[in-house]
Amino acid sequence: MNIKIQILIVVLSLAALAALFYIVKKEVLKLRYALPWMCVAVGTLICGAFPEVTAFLADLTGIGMPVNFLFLLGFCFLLVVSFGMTVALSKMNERVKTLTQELAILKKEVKDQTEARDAH
Amino acid sequence: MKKLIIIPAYNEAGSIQKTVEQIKKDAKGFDFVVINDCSKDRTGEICEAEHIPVIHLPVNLGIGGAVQTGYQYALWHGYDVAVQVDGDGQHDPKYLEKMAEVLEAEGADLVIGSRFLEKEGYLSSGVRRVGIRFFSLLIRFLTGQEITDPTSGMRMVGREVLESFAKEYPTDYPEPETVVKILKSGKKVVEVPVRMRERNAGVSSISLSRSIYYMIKVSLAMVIASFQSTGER
Repeated sequence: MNIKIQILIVVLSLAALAALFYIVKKEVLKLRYALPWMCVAVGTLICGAFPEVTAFLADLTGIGMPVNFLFLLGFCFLLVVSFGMTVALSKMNERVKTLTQELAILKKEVKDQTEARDAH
Repeated sequence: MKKLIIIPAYNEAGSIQKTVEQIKKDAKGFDFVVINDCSKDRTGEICEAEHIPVIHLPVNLGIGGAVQTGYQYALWHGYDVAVQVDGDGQHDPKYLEKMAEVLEAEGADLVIGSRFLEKEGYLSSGVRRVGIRFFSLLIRFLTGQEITDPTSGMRMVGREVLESFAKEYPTDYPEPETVVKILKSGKKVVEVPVRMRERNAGVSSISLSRSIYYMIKVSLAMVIASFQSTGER
């Protein structure tokens, strides 16, 4: 990796980290959902600042160019995050279903009680 | 002064009755309500059978969400003071009157029952204590104030903090980061020595393996909280 792309990666990673902290501070995103993205920013920061790490990992996995290794890593990370989000969505839908059902039954209870009271 | 005890309970069928009886005996100046966090055991049924005021959450929210429900209930019913007493029996209600006195006398916004001011009673496990000590140091670094028991759930709040917590409260491990936020908002936080006990029955809801993740996440949250203040949007 040449020095230009290294600097670019480090600067962008730091900017991403700063933006993430700001977003969490402003309570736009909760910390636990920002954490995986913060890890990515830190990961790319390390790879950008210490290209030997990337080169070593690229060798280990038999990939020709270190930059390609970063692409692969990024792609795998996106897959994991997508899947995680799918799981979270599934759980959330279950909870919404439970809330909907309880709310609907409560509404009937209230209606029944109001009618019973008015029938006097 | 209308005072409410919030009793969050998740799967505390073995201790909830005893906890409530103690409260009725030792904290007569307080109203109380159990927040049943969608327990899978008979916690909810026991409360209903014993005519204990209880709110049944339709979905499990965790300690933060459950306690926040209690704060919202307190606002709903015009309470001036709210205090958290866990459903597992670790917190001793006999300290509540004293805490309320301190709240009023010193004009405090938050009174924390600290295990470590006089170091008596059940002091939690060794590993947890290391974590607690770390949070204490972090709070001192971020706010300059000495808080000996930042993870204590036994916390009493006044009206302003009550309103703030009812609106915004973290869902897991809420205690350390909210202390930072409160301090950074210029509110007064006072600690009072208490003795806690080992839980009556049942198992703690935080396993040791999750503790590492929590340490990192909570520390990060505390750092971010030090840039916030109540009413931040």
